[in-house]
Amino acid sequence: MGQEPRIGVYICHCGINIAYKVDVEAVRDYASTLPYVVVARDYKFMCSNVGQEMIINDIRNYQLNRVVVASCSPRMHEKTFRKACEKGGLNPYFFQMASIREQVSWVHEDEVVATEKAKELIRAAVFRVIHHEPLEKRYVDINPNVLVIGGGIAGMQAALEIADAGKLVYLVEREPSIGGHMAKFDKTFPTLDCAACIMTPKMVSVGQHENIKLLTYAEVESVEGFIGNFKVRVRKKARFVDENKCTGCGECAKVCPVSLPNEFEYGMTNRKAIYRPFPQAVPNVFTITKEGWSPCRSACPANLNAHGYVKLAHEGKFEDAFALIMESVVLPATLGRACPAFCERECTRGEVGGSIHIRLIKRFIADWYYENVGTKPPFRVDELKNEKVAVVGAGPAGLSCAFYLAKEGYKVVIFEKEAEPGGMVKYAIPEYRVPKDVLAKDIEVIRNMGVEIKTNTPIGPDGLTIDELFAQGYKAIFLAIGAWKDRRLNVPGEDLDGIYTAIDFLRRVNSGERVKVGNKVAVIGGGNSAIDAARVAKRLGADVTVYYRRTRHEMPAFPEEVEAAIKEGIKFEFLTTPIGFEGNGKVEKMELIRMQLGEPDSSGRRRPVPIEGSNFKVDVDSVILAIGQVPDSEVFGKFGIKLNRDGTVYINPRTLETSRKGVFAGGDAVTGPSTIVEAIALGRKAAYYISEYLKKGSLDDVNFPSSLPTVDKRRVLERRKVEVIPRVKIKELPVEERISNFEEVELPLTEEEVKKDSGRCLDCAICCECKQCVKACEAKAIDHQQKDEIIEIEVGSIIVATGFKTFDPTPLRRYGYKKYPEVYTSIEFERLNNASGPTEGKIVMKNGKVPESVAIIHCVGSRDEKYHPYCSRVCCMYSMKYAHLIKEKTGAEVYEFYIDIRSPGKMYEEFYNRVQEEGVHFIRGKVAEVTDVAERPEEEGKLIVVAEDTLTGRILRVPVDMVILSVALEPADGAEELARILGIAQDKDGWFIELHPKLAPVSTASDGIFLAGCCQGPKDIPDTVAQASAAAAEALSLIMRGKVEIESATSYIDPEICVGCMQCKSVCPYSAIDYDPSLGVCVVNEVLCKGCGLCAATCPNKAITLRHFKNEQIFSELEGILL
Amino acid sequence: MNEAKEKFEPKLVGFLCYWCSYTAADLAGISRLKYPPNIRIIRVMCSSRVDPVFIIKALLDGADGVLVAGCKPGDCHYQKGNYYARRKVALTKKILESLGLEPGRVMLSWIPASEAPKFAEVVKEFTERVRELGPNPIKRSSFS
Amino acid sequence: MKAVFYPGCTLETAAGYEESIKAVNKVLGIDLPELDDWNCCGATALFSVDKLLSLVFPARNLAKAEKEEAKWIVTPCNACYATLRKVKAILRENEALREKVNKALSAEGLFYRGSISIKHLLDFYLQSELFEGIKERIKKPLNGLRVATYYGCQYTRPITGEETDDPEVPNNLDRLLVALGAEVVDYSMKTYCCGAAQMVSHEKGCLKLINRIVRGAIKEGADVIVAICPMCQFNVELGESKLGYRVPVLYFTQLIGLSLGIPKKMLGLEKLMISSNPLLSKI
Repeated sequence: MGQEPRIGVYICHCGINIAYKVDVEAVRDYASTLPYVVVARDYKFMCSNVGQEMIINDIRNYQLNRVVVASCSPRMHEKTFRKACEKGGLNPYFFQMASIREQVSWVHEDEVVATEKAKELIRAAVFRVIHHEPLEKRYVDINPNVLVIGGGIAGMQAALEIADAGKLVYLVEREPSIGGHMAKFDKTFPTLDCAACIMTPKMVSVGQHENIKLLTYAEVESVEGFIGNFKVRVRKKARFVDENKCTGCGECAKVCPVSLPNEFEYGMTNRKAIYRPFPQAVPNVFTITKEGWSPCRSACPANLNAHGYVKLAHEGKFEDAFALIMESVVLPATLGRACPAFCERECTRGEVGGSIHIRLIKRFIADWYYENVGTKPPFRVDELKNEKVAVVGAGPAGLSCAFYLAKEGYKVVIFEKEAEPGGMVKYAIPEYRVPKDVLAKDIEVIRNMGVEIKTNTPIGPDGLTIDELFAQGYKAIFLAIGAWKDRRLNVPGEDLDGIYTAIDFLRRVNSGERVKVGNKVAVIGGGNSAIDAARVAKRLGADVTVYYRRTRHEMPAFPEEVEAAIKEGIKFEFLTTPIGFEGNGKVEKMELIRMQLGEPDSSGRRRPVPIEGSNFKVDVDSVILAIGQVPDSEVFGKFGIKLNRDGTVYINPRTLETSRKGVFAGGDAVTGPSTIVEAIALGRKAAYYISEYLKKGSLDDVNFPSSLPTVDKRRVLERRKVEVIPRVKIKELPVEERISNFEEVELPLTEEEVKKDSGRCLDCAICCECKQCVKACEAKAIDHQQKDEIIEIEVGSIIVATGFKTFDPTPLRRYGYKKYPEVYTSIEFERLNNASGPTEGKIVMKNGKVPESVAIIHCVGSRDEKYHPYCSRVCCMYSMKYAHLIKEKTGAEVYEFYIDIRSPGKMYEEFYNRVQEEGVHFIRGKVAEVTDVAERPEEEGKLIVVAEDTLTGRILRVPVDMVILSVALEPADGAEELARILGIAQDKDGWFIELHPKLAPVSTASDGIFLAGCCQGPKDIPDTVAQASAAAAEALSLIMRGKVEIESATSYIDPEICVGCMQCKSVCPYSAIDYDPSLGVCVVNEVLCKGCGLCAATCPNKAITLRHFKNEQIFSELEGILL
Repeated sequence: MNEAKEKFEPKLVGFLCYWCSYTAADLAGISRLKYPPNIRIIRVMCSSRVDPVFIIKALLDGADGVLVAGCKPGDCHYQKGNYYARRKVALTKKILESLGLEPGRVMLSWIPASEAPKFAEVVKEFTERVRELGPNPIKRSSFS
Repeated sequence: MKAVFYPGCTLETAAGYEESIKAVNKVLGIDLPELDDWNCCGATALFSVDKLLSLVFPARNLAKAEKEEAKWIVTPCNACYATLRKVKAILRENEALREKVNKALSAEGLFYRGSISIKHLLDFYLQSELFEGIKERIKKPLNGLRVATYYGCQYTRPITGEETDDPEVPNNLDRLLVALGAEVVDYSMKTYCCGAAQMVSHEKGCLKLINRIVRGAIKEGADVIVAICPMCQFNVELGESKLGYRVPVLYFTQLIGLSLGIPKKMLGLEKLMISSNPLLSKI
């Protein structure tokens, strides 16, 4: 401890704040008895100049080398007294403080106890200071840039002050535009000057100032570092519009088909999915609200944007709708008829009136296009390329792959073994579901895209080989050979005449052959082809029974199809399977056995097991076996393409590459029998990878464009009140008519029905990505692929101006908010009264009439223990502003229901008087309820405000047309999160806490972070602006100082003791500790060390000491306390 | 005995992190909240500075209880010091058991800067708890 | 958890309340024995007659229940519910009074400890296990039935702190009826006074009160007003028929009964002044 300590102890009375509980003289006398104490004094205000001089002189006169002051908290005056020591020529760290105000006199009742505790704390301080050591002062340079969080009037004011002083400001605003609440106001009290007239110029100059970097639609994600040097990460949310290109012309919003409640107008008007909060927005650019993908789109195997084309259909833009569809799928007319429509199963409307007729709308769009536009593709080839690609099989997968490759500009040839393209759609799906001319048109579009289809040209033994295709210059090959080989039962008599396989049977019928099935037809199986075969046989005049070995519950066929079959009089026999067929030459009898369900099998369905001796026979004229198909793929095995055991083609599931380079595969050939849409999806995916393969040669780091997250239905239904609207009824051909022929069963929707049904769409994802905006934007500013962007900035100080939000009065049920349409919150009324608001500033009710009487209820959510105990400060004044404006504009009677009128402020009381003179009724009493239940005739059709007039003691019932709730101010959403990020404190109501209510009103406990405006507590515009300027001044003074002193208490590692275990290194949050291999010890980098002391507590050898918080310093403090 | 308990005024030491808990203690003062005078506060920059040795030393020197208080998890001024503090205190309690001291004499608490009432509450609760436990046995034995 | 049933004087004369409670308890297998040798709680009148007596009356019932080692005393009447709680609160605070009252009770060898807790029948049914039991046994959900939940003014008054519901915007009855499948209307008269005994002395005044209670329900398009207190039910039903309205007023237990598929006879529905048939046809 160097030379003998000579300690001076000073006890502060703090006026009477300490003295009234602590016997300061007694404490002083006690202090003078403590070891090494040379002088002990008490004084009224140690922090005053006199007090400081006292210390300085004593240091000189008594050669003090240690000082202890017992007064307020070190947070308050440690700096002050350290300076005093310095002036006295003492190293400031030879000082220790005992907090006997915050920790004693203010919190303890009993004088004796308080005095004793004060003594102990001083004793501890004395013991500690003995072991203090001189420390070097440390400074850091102040980064002259400033971050302002929040672009309301406070944030703008602060930003402008600093920017005008020539310093760089980053202004971060989370909304798409700056302006905050003030931008919503019409007039401001008490002067009644128009808010816009003050605001708009300010907003513009913020937007244009060369020293302000404006980051709107952005939020602060993290803040690191300390005063002078903060590192800030800002997330700039994707706007999907390029701010630099957008001219704010608004053409996009005109064409956007999606509208939703306008947040800026509190839902009193609607806005489009692409929007600008208000016309004077800064920056004057548009933003798209996109919440992900609608469930319909995510549910579709091809991710077809159903939401998009449904909206376009609603607008009657069928040509654009067709184009949008073709971006994801081919064969739209076919899908519009034969798709299982997974989308409709997920449609959110399903829960409120039945899903949108997505499939039938698609059908209408396609049919409309073919009729009115023809079969030209809706978009042209990007740019022609030289590479040729061969596609094997003209089924949905092949056609899809070919189409999208052709669109990319590749030369594509499809090799089809059959006489006509279309695959299963052509040969297995009956006419009554997809008429052939419809398929023909679908395929025509693909041909017109430049795809060449060679029919009757099989690949394989009796045709070209894969090698030959490559030899002919095809750079890539896509195998889409489908699954055509029927499974067999392998039971006796299976080869008798009159026994068909489903595919073979359907194929013949579809090729126009008049198949003779006789009278009694048995269909075996429960899949879609079984049902198709059955319904076809029915149309051939047969009496049809479907035999299925499981129950209806396990049937893989689509329920709708089964329904239709039953309607058409097709019989079903469940839990039976054939075990043999009899007849000479031609089948006559079929023997079956009954089954029962056993344990679940690999498919998860319960395995049917035969019941012994339950055999029985039935007469049949013909039998159709529909027990599944597999790909006819052996031949490709020979071509060196790996196959799976079930005959499907082996592929890399990500890229669809087969085992052979340059050969890809998709459709039923890889999935086994599946749906058209799934085949098409794989086709398009293949096209993507093939194209990438041809460009890059490898697919290692190539990935199919990823999908967006699906929007949660719950959230959609909560967004706004959704009333149930039933879906349009589908018309079908009457059964008796349909079973005699192959006419299409399902009739199309009319244009009116399409528009009606599509109007029920709930816009789950909000933006439907219909791309109308892209088309309308001359500036080419819209980018639907835009991603969030992380911006890293470095600043020396931060000004928080995040403002407030208004209290939601819904919980106060008795005021009828949201129940009665004529009950408004104050902020809603601001808009109602605003010249640019929903009514152009006309004060009218929802029915368009002008109110004859208006009640204004004060303190809604304020001065209310159940909600906010505090006064929101601005409500009285704005309420009276409303009263004046209402009278001025409508002449209505206005009733102010108040508890107390609070009008402190320049010209406020005068305004109060003025409003009274204007004949506004002031009723002192909190309102009990607002009801529409009339008791007297004059109350009929009005809202009755029930309250006690506490001045007359009478209960009043005041019938009015409109009620305004003067709602409380609350901390803005996310205030808590921001407090965490910034490390600043909130009071119990959530407002940010200033360092000192009087002396440091805009500083926080975290140096370098300042507060402005309502984030610190409710206040009006003048106070807000004043505070903003103050915060700016604080930030500027910091910048002018250039340097700031920081804590000198850093860690130090004694190399003599350190064993280099590096535990300290592993725990240090600032990587301030390095390992020196040459010495085998750890070393502290003092520049980085922040002095938390974690390392010191962690070091197993106690080789680390934290300066000014050394073990012996703490220990002696302990001894002082516990002596 | 019971009477003795009621007379017994435990002596408590509180290691408070400067950024949250110490600020809360100040705020308690500023808001004039009342709490038992039994606690003596020692300032540390971060709760993670509280070396188990501090706690044990305090108890050996005769403190009846030791409070360690830091920022709310996630809010640590030094990123995650308070998590280390939590671990250290947990381990220290184990050691105490082996010394035949009730782990209840040591308490860890998260007290955010803004929650003065919580600070007062914690002190009340802890004082009661230790009063129940009775005087620190080590101290007693050292007297005998 | 042992509970005893304290019917209160008005139950017997209440149209179908008692029957429906019995019927429902039977179906749910609830054993809720009646408090032995109980007496009138003194309701609102006695206070103005004899202060001490107005405490002794309810205290006697509480003491008897405690003697039966019941944990709960369950009452279907808001007035009883309020009076019992009031007395509990007063005697909890005022030792001198407690001694006086106990002195009086000692004549019968009774002693009031203050251990018993007081439950309204509605809250009794809302205990999770019973509530679940009701939900499971629903046979005829009250789908499509629009109900106005009328709590009356005494049920929600916060007196002892045992109350489970929000004093201003109660929700317990709503919860129950929603579970039964009914559609609860946004009814603003939930906790308005029905006038209680004043019906006898100040009919005009009471009719005004009842008028708004019924008007409120009609405004929201309610098919039925649901009551949880014999006095409320009686006043509203009588009052509205005098005013010429015809909105049926049922006891919540009668609606539970209907949803459990209990025949209307066993629920005493025919005893109602205003026929419940229109709404029965709705379910």
